[in-house]
Amino acid sequence: MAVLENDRLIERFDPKVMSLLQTLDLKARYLVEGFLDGMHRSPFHGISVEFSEYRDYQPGDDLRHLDWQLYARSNRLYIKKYTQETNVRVYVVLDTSGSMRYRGNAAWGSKLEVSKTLAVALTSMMLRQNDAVGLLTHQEPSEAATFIRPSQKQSQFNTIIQQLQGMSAAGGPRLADLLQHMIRLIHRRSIVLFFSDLQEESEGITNAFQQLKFLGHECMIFQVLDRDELEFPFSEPAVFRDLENGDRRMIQPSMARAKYLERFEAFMAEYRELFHSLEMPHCVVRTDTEPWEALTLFLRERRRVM
Amino acid sequence: MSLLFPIMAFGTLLVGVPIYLHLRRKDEKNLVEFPTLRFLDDQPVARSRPMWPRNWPLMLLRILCMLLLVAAFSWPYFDNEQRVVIEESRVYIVDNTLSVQTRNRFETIQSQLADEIESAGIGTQVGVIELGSTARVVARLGDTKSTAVQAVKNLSPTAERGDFIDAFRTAAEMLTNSLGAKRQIILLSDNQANQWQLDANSPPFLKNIEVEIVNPPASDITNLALAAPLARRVTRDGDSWVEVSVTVSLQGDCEPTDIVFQDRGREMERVTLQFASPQTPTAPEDPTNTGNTTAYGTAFAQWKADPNQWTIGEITVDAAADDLAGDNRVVFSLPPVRKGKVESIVDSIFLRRALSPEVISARWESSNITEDSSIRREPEVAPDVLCLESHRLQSPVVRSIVRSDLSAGRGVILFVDKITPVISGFLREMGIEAESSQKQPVDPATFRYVYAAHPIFAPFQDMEYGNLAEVEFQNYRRLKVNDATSLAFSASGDPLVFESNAGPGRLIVFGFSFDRSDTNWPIHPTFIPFLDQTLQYVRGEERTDTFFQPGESVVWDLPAGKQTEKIVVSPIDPSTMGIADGIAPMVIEVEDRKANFPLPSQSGHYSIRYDLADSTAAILDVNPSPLESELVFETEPTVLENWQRSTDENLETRTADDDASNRPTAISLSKMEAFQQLNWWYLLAAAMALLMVETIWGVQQQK
Repeated sequence: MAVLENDRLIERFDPKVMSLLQTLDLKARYLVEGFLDGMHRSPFHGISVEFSEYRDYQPGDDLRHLDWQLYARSNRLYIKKYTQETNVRVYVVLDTSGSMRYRGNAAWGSKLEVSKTLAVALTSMMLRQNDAVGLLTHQEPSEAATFIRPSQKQSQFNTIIQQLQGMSAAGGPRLADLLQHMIRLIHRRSIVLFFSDLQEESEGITNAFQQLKFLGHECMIFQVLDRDELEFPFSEPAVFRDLENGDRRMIQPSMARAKYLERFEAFMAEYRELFHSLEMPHCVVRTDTEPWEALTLFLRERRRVM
Repeated sequence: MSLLFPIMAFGTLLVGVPIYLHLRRKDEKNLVEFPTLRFLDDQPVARSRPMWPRNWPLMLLRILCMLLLVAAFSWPYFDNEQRVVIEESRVYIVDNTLSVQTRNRFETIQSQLADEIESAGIGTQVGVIELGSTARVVARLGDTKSTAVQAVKNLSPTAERGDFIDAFRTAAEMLTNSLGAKRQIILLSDNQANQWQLDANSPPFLKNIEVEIVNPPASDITNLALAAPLARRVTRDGDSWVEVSVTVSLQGDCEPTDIVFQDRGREMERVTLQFASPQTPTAPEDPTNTGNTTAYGTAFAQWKADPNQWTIGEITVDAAADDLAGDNRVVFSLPPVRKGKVESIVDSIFLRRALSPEVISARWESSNITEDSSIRREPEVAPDVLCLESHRLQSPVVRSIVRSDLSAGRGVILFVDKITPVISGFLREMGIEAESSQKQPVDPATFRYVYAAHPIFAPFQDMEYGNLAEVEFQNYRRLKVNDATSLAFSASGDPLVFESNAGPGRLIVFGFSFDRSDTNWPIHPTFIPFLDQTLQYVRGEERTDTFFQPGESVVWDLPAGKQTEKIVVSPIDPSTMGIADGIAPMVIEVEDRKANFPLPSQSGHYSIRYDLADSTAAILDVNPSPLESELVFETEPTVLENWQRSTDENLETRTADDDASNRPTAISLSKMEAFQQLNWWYLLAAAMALLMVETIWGVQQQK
């Protein structure tokens, strides 16, 4: 396992640069390359590569794959073929409810943009490891969930990127529905990566996560939150409108902040307890800071699953 | 239409659009969209009024814009008390040919028609067709009366010639889709008889259309007319002369009068017409009376003229009692002579004499070559035409010269006086095969079948230069065409004259020599004219027709080697050769080396230039049709019955008794209504102006 050097990693992430990058592909690449450069050694060492068969050498074949020992014995040229095996299937589940549209002043992207960037970065890393990656999300205006079957082909990266690029956050809460879809669709034991702000009534979500745990899936929850949600830094009185249901409230921040933070902390504690009880790794990803913690969590958990 | 009309009601609903846009686009200040508002549900609900207009003047401006647009587009649908049923559709045909100017009839027709249109009832549609060289629609059935009256007043008399059937067909086409129950064509004309004669047997096309002929034919006409001027250059005793003849016709009585011949504005000759009897003119040249009412004769004049200058002539006659002055003047022109070069390699003494400078010096510069080695082909000395006898083809130099001349576009005349294997081979190369048997005719042969339309034979059709059938051939070479054209055959079917298709240059081959042993042609009067005609043809100079009638459509071919994108057609001042005043020059685009344009409606000289600054390339002589001078009128043209005859499939008729409510209707336009039409535009313009103000205002607000 790679050893992280936090200082080096922090130097390699600039929220301004991140917000200037236009495409999801560039953002993901910036994230992954920065993350990998911050490690002493590659996280991909140790991936099993199994010998498959010999075949006759053909002009143009890479000489590195030539079996020189066999040549010494038999005076014939053979090429060794390998099969990289994997038994890891990873599903990326993305919440696209209206609340994911929020982007605070200090953030380098909206919650959905950060989620998408992280998802693409992880997809890139997983495909490098020959893992099969799939996608489950929900896209307005159709009611049905969008599902991309897991595959370990390199073209899967473009497929997922294309799907993610066209997505926008809108509508009401739907994470519980997505989880139910998940339960119906996934039959083999898999790793499920959730990207959501979890701004939803917890009852449905709790039941769904319990079922997933019961079915043997390894779930990782990336809770994407904005600094404004965590700290409520507003000072001026303003009309607040809910991004999902359109409710409007006249807020005096100085008077409402304490109550808000108290209730928000209770909300977070409830989920922390839930994921702790279900032994599901839970990572809060802030939209205004570097997401290294999330990537580290992923690598650690993947290694544990393997 | 009232305000409750569905279209109006729907349009008014559109007023809601700017209100909606105004409210929807309203920015709410100090609004925070927040994802976790559920943790603040104990806070008071905001009491803002998002649907309250932010900017009352702006919203009212937008509503006003929309109302103006709705009003503008609804305007034509508002009911009009004066909506009328069209009872009658009427098309007037105004004959504007030259003959209608007899006794100023055209002006009478013009004022009469303007009055009729103005006095036409509100339920009458009126269209007007002007008949000149073609039928032109000057006012459509949908036009207003004032437009039609103005169009009629704008007509000016022309010297054109046209037939009634063209105008009637156009009128019938207009009436096909007319609104009126009654459809009528009214002909305002002099009813010249020969205008009815074309297509007298045309299938019926005036179905259910009434025809009325208004003006009664005139009587006791006196008309002296000139027509068909013919001019040519002749060389006599070394001097170049212009010979001109013109046909004179007289109808009715006329006092003795003079015919004046002019060249470039100068009077050259004056011929006095003497009339022996009231209806028989005595012209200097063989007058003949060809009818009871019209007498014809020919006037002739000649004068010396510089062959290197344009001859731009005009012939006029002045008769005090003439009812039609428009046919008292004809024009003609002759281009300057361009001498050609002819080189002969012949032994025939007749050909040598015929091609000597003494005989053909007026048109040709000739030279005779005796030694093959002295033939030169530098561009400045190369001849236009090479004449040779076939025995000279034994020389490879001569064969090479002939091939190069043909490939360079120069002309060659070959007289086959001898056939050898070498000559046969050369003739085969030219597409002509020498027959193996060269049996000579027992009796002298003559021309029997001649390609009369070919330019070298065409002038001999009228025997003016002599009779080609008198030429005899005692001896000739038997040839047959392989890839060539036979132009003349003997009575036994042997081809005697050929035209080869061997090259860009023209090659005329005679199957005989011009020697007395072969033919008597050299002593026949047609010899020199025929030789001259053949030389002109092989030289490549085609005579372009320059005689036209006013209003005629002309297709002008660019001469070989001339490159231009436009040609300029303008009236020419004969004295200065410049562009005359009066009619503006027409600039016509050239497409595919052809320029297509209509001539002006007045007679006269018109020049063609390939550039405004260029010199005159050609002069078109535009003279009225002689038919327009035949002032014989038809009182009741029978041809109309053929045009109007009903057929079985034409049983469906529209009558005035049909239910008026089923008929198409139209809105009559008074001055008030015309003003209302303008209002439509005012409303639309005001709406657009307001929209522009709204946009600027909106931008300012955003800033």
